[in-house]
Amino acid sequence: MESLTDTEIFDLLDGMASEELNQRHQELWRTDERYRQYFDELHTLHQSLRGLSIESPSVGFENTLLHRLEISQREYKLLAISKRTLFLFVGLMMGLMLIGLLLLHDGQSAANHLFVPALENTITYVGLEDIQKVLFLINGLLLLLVCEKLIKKYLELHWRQL
Amino acid sequence: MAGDKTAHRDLVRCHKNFAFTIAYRILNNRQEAEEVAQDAFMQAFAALKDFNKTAKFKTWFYRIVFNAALMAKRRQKPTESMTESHVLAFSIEDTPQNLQRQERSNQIQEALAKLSADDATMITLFYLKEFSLEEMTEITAISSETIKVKLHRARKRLAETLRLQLGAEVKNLY
Repeated sequence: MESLTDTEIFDLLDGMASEELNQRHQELWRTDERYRQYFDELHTLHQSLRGLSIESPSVGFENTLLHRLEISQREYKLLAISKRTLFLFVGLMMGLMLIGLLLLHDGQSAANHLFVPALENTITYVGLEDIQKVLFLINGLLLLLVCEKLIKKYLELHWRQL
Repeated sequence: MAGDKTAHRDLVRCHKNFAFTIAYRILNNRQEAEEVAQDAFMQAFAALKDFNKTAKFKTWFYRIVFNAALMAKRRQKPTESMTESHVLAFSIEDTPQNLQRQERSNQIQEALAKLSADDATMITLFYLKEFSLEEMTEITAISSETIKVKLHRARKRLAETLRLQLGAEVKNLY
């Protein structure tokens, strides 16, 4: 009778063997001394592996880890605060620019306003288009900065998951 | 916040040993394995809010440990993965059976340390936590058929390593 392959023996040990395989094994076990020895060797190994104990890390593992976690949470909070500050700054800048643009628009129609003449002089000197270009540039830069922060956070999270 | 801390502590207590064991089987270095296990916990805590609640936490977490350990293994210098010797702790209460079992366990640990990271991981996942093939597939991202083949090969290699190891020990006796 043909001996069992290693795969078949492991199937037997894992309890996944078919009835036919079981019968072949029993027959070989009775008649083939070499097979019996080989099967016994794998069987003993299988039993020893099942009884193998799990390793334990050092005693300080848990406390070190929780301490690290505490520090990282503190850093995360600081980062969140700095991010909030950044968004506040961006919002403030945009608000100021909007007010500026509104004033420029109103300044052209309401000539009797107190600081409008001075503002009009400045606009005439620098040029309205130049001011608009500078404002667009600043806004563009701020927008890029915000996008960078958001994309970075998104990529960090997904990188970790991978 | 205090609740978070307790929950984190519970998670660490529940999974630290096995996380460490996986890392240790792959790296064969206790210090590095501890670092990897800690990093894996930190990664898991950071990504916990994005964890898909329908998935099993343990397979998700052990996948992080497995990947972190493999990355550390790639960075590891060859001299760092030398087998660490297991110290036998004898006590008066040790019966001959217990000592024999302990000795056998040490022989297997030594043989496991000589296997490749891949082989050692397969055996560790299958025997120590008794993961099913499906769970092993989730952790290692390898198909169940491949895992089955790898596991069989790993056990065969382990048997061969043990045979060689025991042969050398017997030779040393004479």
